[in-house]
Amino acid sequence: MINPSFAPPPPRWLAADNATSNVFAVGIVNSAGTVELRGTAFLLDKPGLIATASHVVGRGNNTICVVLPDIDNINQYQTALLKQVQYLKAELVAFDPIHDLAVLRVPEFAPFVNHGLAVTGTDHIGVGQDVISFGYPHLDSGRKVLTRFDSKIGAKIFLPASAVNVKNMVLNTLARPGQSGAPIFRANSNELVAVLSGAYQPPNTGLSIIIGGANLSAMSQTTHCVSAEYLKEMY
Amino acid sequence: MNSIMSFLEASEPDNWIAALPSYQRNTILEMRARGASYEDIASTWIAAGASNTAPFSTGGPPQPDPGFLEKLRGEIRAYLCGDKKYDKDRKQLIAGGKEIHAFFISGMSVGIAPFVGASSIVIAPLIALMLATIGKVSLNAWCANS
Repeated sequence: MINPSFAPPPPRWLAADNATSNVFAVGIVNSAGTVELRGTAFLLDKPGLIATASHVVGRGNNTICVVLPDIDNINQYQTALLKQVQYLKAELVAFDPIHDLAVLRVPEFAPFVNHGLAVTGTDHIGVGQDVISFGYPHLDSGRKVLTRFDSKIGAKIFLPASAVNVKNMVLNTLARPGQSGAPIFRANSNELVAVLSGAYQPPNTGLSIIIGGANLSAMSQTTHCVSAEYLKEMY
Repeated sequence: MNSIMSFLEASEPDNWIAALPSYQRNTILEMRARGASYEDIASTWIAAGASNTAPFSTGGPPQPDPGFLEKLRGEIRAYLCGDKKYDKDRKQLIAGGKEIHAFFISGMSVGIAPFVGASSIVIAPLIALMLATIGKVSLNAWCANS
């Protein structure tokens, strides 16, 4: 739980580099008025719109908020454990639980567009190719650090989601809570190929073993990311 | 009320699905092609999630809420069958005068959302699916049987 303060984006935000100005932590404002950070969201190529994983926003019954970056550049030192954050309210625009994607509108972001973004999908990227992601791992422990991850595509899979086969790719990396909704880019490009949704968890294991807050059955280098092609239809 | 009744009775079940945005409509049509009923799809939709995937939002996986759909069904019934708490919403829907399915779904979703604890965007496809299950029956008969 983090105490919120509401404020418009600082002017320096406009001058921020790509990662810091386009990738945010997203959360909800709970009934006690504190912010619960949930996952990662990123700016889209239309004014004021951002995207994340649908499970990050739940059923949208709480106030959804986007937490503003507190750095200008990803090379700056970040304060890992924050007691206070600046946030803006976001409203749900599109929701697709089958493909685990959601689009949100942040009215204050209306002047901002992620001009260079090219939303494609997983069809034209191959196994073994390099991808880059930015996200906020360990948000569950109150740690808000925008972090870059470099990994390779390990496999392309159909992941059955409620009787529909959904195109996913497997990344050879260990993801952590808070990274859901993180954008996955083809390396050295602005081509969005997928959105991070979670990690492989073996079926029918019954009880998950939780040690120190970590679900051991999901601690694998098998990270699932849904193809960005499904996002294109949503906004 | 009469205008809502006549509109519902004149609507084909598929009209409600056709009124949804393409990203929802196409998925629902894919499920229909695999033999799922509207009712099945509504149940599936609300419990959706990729198989064998532990979601990595800090809230963890969405918690199952088997009563949610029944609660929503009850509110749709209340809305359509004349419950006083929806008087204002029904009047607005009729005053809108747009007997188009998308307007109808949107109006109902906005009215019902606060009573089921979910965003209108989240419940809109579920409302469309449930209206499709009602089909072209007489609203009076449907309300009497509910």
